[in-house]
Amino acid sequence: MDMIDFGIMKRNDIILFLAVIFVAGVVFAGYKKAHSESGDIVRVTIDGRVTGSYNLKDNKTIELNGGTSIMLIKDGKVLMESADCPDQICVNHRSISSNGESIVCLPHKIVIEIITKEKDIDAIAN
Amino acid sequence: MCKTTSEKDNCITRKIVKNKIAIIAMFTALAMIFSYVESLIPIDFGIPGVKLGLANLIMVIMLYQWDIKSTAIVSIIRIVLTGFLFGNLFSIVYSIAGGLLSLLVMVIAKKSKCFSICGVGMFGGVMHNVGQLIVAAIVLESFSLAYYAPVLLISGLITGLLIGIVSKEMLKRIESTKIKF
Repeated sequence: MDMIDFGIMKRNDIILFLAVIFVAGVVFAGYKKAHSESGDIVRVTIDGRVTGSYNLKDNKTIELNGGTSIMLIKDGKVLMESADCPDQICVNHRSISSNGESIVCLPHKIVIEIITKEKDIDAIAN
Repeated sequence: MCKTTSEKDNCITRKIVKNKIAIIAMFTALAMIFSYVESLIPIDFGIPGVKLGLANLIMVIMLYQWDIKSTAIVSIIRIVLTGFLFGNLFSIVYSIAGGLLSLLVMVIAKKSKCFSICGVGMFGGVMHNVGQLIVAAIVLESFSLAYYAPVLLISGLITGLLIGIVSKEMLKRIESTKIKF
């Protein structure tokens, strides 16, 4: 057994730790910059294609994906009210309200995101 | 039972293979239990993918006490079985991506001898989430997942560090129990 590998935290570990935090910070900063204005449009993308855009200010219940998932826009917040996916991660996700936040349902390939107008840089060229 | 020399060699080979299979089975079962227990923890951050990754604990320990191939086998079998039992087909794909990427990076990190077990653990935790993010980004054909990236990176980092620390303590204590063939 190579006891050297156990050791106390080596210097490289600390470098790694800080590097990951740095990368996370950079991604976060870049993300905030790209979504700096307040968002007011809820965009639904299913399987890579945008299927609808709604106003965040409206109070609406919308059926997505032919009824498999129900999205609720209320009081400036968006949440997945119910869905028939097996893991229910999208339903348990906390409600989103700010620009750039998103709720994702992987089994149904649904992405609900809050954007500002249609010039969001995440726009997919299809 | 095994009298002649050539018979003895065969016997030993068969014994090693049988023991290897038993070891792999044991660790797979352990990893599945860890996975299950972890799923029972009621803390809900509301962000998918933030979890302890207790099964990684098994992987790190196996990497340091056994060999890479056994670890890979345990990882794959564990993910597939857990996926069938508690999850669904989708989760298997994402877990495999995360699990294999994390294992690959951990092996490289360990071999490089530049990192301690804590560093290897951190790599494992972070890359597990990175792997899942990459597959999700491909499936959704979207970069909107950047929203989840910072949180998942940090959570993977911290849980990985914890796993590394716990692994070190565990290995110190179970060193004497490693079965010598």
